[in-house]
Parts: sequence; structure tokens; C-alpha cells
Amino acid sequence: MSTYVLLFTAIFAVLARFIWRQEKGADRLLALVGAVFLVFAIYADFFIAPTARQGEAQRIFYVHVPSAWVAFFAFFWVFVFSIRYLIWRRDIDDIRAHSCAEVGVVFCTLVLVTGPIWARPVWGVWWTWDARLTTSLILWMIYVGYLMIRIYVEEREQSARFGAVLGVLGFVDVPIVHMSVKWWRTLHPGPVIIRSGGMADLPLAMHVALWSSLVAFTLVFVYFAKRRVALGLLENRVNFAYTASER
Amino acid sequence: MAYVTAAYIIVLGAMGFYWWTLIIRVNRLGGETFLAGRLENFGDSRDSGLGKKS
Repeated sequence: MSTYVLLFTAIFAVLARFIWRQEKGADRLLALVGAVFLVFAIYADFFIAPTARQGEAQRIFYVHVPSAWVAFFAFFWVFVFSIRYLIWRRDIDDIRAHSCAEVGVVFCTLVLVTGPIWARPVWGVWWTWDARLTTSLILWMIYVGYLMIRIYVEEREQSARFGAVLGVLGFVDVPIVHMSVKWWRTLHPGPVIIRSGGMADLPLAMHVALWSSLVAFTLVFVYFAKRRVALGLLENRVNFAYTASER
Repeated sequence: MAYVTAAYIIVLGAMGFYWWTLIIRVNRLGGETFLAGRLENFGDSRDSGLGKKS
């Protein structure tokens, strides 16, 4: 067994021990499965995947693309829960939308950080006002704006309503970001996994690395979102208790 | 390789940092819940404020 396999097994063991002590029930299982995929994905990114034509910088692709996928996925759920909130006005939908937006912003930030780190060695510049990059930056600003509304609008119902409206309208930018490489002439590479003719003709090792990263990041998102919803419920409970005590 | 290392450290570090903030926010609120539990009417689970219209 290679030294690196042992090293990654040890990293997983430390992570698993922490999760075991921190979590219970379904969350523990979710976190452990997520950790298995995450540790395997990092191993696959460095030791299984070929570097192709771009050299070592190619490996950034395996964290950049899954971060973008998770950000889109999170903002989709913000859109769904915001619509539900606007229809039924249930607090739980607002908490879920707010939670998904917060986690989505974390991953969208990672997209905007890892992109320039990849661009510098490949394009020779950190940033260019390309359609994909610009629309992605706008997407990040929209959801940072969402979080700012949730913080600075003090009246709770108003904050939830404004947030829900922005959560619905802001999602319009997601398909624009996705289609930007087709609609405009851009520097950014086009779709690399699924193309109009079906799956891209990538080597099997690249598929293994990419799909394991996609599954790992998705599981991490689900785990973070669940934890954040639990936190939102706790905040609601504390706020309600303080409000009730003031009456 | 420095760019790749930086990217992975940032991504994994950000995930770890966000996880840590979730844990400490829950722990801090856990303490507040304990205090709030001592406030009047808090013990009544029917008035938890959840599932109600805002």
C-alpha cells in the first residue's frame, strides 16, 4: 500500500473521529459518507486524474466545477423555498431559503477565488471582464445582497419577504451564467462534462475524479444546509422566547 | 503546483472554517436557549413560534 493511501486513510480516520463525537443519527451518517467521498475525491484529484494539456493547473478544475455546481444547486433551493414562503408564509421555508443562500454564497465565493487561481497560470491574468466571469460576480453580489437584507432589515417579516423576492428574482442570473459561454464569445472554457451530443469524451480517470468531487461537494452542501437550518430553528426559538418575555 | 496547493488549501480551509462557525454558533445559541428557557412562558412547547405565520 502506498504511503499516500495510508496518509489519506489517516486523514479520514481523524475526520471520522471528530464527526463521530460531534454528530448523532442521520447527520452523523451523512457527514461520514461526505467525508469518505471528500477524502477519496482529493486523493483522486492528485493521484488518479491525468493533468491533460493544462499541466498541474488542471487539478483546480476538480474543486472549481463542483463549487459552481453546489452554488447553483443551493440558489435553486433558495428559489424554491422563497416561492413557498411567498405563498404560504411559513417560517420554516424562510429559514431553509436563508440557510441555502448562506451556504450557496460560501461556494460561490470559492468559485470566484479558485477561478482566478486557475486563470493566472493558464490565461496569464487573474481576472478579465469576460461574460462568464462577470455574470458569476453579479450572481455572488445578488446573494451577498440577500444576506445583507437578512441582517440589516430588522423587522422579521419584512426581512423574510424582501429576501424571498430577491431569492426568486436573483435566480434569473443562474441560467444566464450557465448559458453565457454559448451566448457570448468568451475566454472561459465551454461545457466540459455534458455537451449537446451527450457526455464529453474525457478519460475514465478524469470522470472518476470529477464525479467523486461532485458527489462529495453535494453531500457537504446537504450536511451544511441541514446544520444551518437547525441553527436557524434555534435562533427562531431564542428570539421567540425573548420576545415573549418582553410582552 | 503552488497555484493548485493554494486552491485546495483555500477550498478545504473555507469548508472547515464554515463548519467551525456553524458549530460555535449552535453552541453559543445553546447557552442562550438555556437562559431563554428560564424566561416566562418559554417552557410551553405549543408556543415555540415555529410553523406559524410571521
